[in-house]
Amino acid sequence: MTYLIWRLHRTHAIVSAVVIVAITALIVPSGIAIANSYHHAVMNCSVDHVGCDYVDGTVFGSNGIFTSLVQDLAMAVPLVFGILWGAPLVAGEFEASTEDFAWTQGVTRRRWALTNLGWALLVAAAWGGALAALFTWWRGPNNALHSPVTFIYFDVQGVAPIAYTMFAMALGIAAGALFRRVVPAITTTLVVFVAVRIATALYFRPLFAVTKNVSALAGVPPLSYSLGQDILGGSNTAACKTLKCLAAHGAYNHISYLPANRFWPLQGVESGIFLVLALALALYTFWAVTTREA
Amino acid sequence: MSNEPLAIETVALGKRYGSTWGLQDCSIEVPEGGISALVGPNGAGKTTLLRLLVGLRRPTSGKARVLGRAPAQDDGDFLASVGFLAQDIPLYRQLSGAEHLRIGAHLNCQWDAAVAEQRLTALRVPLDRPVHSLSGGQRAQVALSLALAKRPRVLLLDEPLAALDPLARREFLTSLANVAVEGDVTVVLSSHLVHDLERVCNHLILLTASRVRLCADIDDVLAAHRVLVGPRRSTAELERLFTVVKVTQTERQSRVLARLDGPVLDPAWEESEVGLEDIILAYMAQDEALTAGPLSMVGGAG
Amino acid sequence: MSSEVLKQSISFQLNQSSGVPAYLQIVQQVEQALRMGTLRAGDQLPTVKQVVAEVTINPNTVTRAYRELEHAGLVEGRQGIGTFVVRRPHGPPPDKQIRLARSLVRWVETARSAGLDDQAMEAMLRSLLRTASNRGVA
Repeated sequence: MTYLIWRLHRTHAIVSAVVIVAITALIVPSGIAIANSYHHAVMNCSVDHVGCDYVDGTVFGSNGIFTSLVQDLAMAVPLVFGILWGAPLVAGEFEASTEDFAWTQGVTRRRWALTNLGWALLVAAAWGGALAALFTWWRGPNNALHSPVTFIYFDVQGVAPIAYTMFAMALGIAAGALFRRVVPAITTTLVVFVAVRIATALYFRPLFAVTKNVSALAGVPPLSYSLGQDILGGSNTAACKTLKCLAAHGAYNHISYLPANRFWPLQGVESGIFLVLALALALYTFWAVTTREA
Repeated sequence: MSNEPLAIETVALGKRYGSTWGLQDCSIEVPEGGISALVGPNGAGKTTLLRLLVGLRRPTSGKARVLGRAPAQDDGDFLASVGFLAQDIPLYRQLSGAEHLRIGAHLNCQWDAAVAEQRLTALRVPLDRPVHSLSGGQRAQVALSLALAKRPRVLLLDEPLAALDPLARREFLTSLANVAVEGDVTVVLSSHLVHDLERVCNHLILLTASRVRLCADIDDVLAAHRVLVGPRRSTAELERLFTVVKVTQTERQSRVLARLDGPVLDPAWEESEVGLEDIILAYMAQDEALTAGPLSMVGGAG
Repeated sequence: MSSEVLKQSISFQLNQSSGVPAYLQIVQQVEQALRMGTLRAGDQLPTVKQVVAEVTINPNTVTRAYRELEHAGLVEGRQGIGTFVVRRPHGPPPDKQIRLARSLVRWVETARSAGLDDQAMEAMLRSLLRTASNRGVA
């Protein structure tokens, strides 16, 4: 059965390996350059960031476009797996009428489902992990200047990419098992994946936020991700045009933010959620392949 | 029925899809060895029956036994002993014949690669080109070789001739006949065409409108059915004594196709034998008449 | 034009629309070959496999035909080797057959000039044979 899977997905495996190697070839030199540049810049300014305002611009300014392109790429990788590898896995067999092939060659439906799901999720985890490791390393210096909890920065490092890729793969396969046609499977995977990712970012992550009132002159702590700031309260503040004036009139800043130290707990919980979703989808696929009738 | 061992046996087997019955009250016996033709119009239930026998569908009612065991998708032994060739010939278009054989060797416990290769080479089917570049007949032969290489004891084929040109059909049937020569395999193949099957099959199962009409050796079917021709008169007496399948009344003549289980004593009826295709068509027409209503009885007002 | 050469003693033809059962056609074709001297005592009949390959017919049909011939004492099967001719069928030798054929040709010419066409002649012969065999059975 493994031989059959290899033979059918040989092209997928080779192409994805080539892509990973290409991405590595792009990222590694860039990461080394960034790290060097950062250390130089830091050594030339004081330790507590005062006077280091220009480090950011010096190190990352010139690489701005490249940086965002690479990160958008990293965000898309899980979805690409779901669409190009996951969606055609079961659906493609139905469209080509080969869904009975393995069965007529002595492979029970159960074995077929388990082996296919097993290998697909393993590959998703491996490639997701490789990219996560790569990008976590690449973002090292950046994390010292920009909060890793920031949206997008959070999504491409740590362990979350592994869970996202496994979820996308499981989603693609399940959609394929449901519709038995590749195009509806791809569309569904795309829509559902984007919706779930946006929903977790918008509604789930703020659950870990810290909310408090600080001086109107202050903002969110350094290296945290701001979820909102509101100047509230005070009296006779209508005429004020400066923050100092507002502060003098008793106004305060109502802030909501994700502190840097919430990074790993958030990574753990969000990964857990996506892994549970992936498992549920895998169970559905197993049921659809073994029990659901034509 | 004889006491030969049965390769396939069903008792009141039925399958319902939603509110329609794909197959109803199907009780058949197929003796071991030999080649059986499963015949009927499109939609009669042939594919449903084959898929039930092979375990790809679960019955709504009744039961089936193939080689003495109930068909099950997850029974490895069952899968190894029953071969199935689906109507759309499941092969991976981008892989070659040789690669399919290699995959088969990996997947099956029992595998006779040499025989499969010899067959295909003798038929001049190229094994190194992707399957999509082969003709329909060649693809069918590759699929048949894959089914045979695992040495099944029962081989079920769903409309294998449908997409083949006449020469390819003849070659495929010859291959099946050879299979029967070589081993103890029971073959059942379905078709909505009768003419080709008659040469090679010794047993017939006729399905119309999801029910079994005939299940017997072809020789017995031919021996039992007769066409009776006589001057125009009522057929009520005949209908009382025998199973009348088709009545044609003209101004001067009555012609009756019936299954006789005894002698026809009335000398006015002239008996003659009737070909298999005509027998089958008569049963199919009978069914249409039943579903369409009494006014459409063949031959006009009775 | 296509031609083939087969390594077997005689070849067979199956007429599906003749109403004669397949096994009987095989029996008749072997008997005819024996009558005409095409097959002689000691010759081997084509194997079941050879017949199936040539005619696309159920192997049981061939086996049945050969068994009928064996019952009639015309052939004998030797386990593992094949089926061999034992003797000609009882009946006139080839030269008598030829003489009978010649008288049949004269009758056909007479019938044709009297106005009977081929089908009428065939129908007449068939009904005569049927009556004759019925008389034999009854």
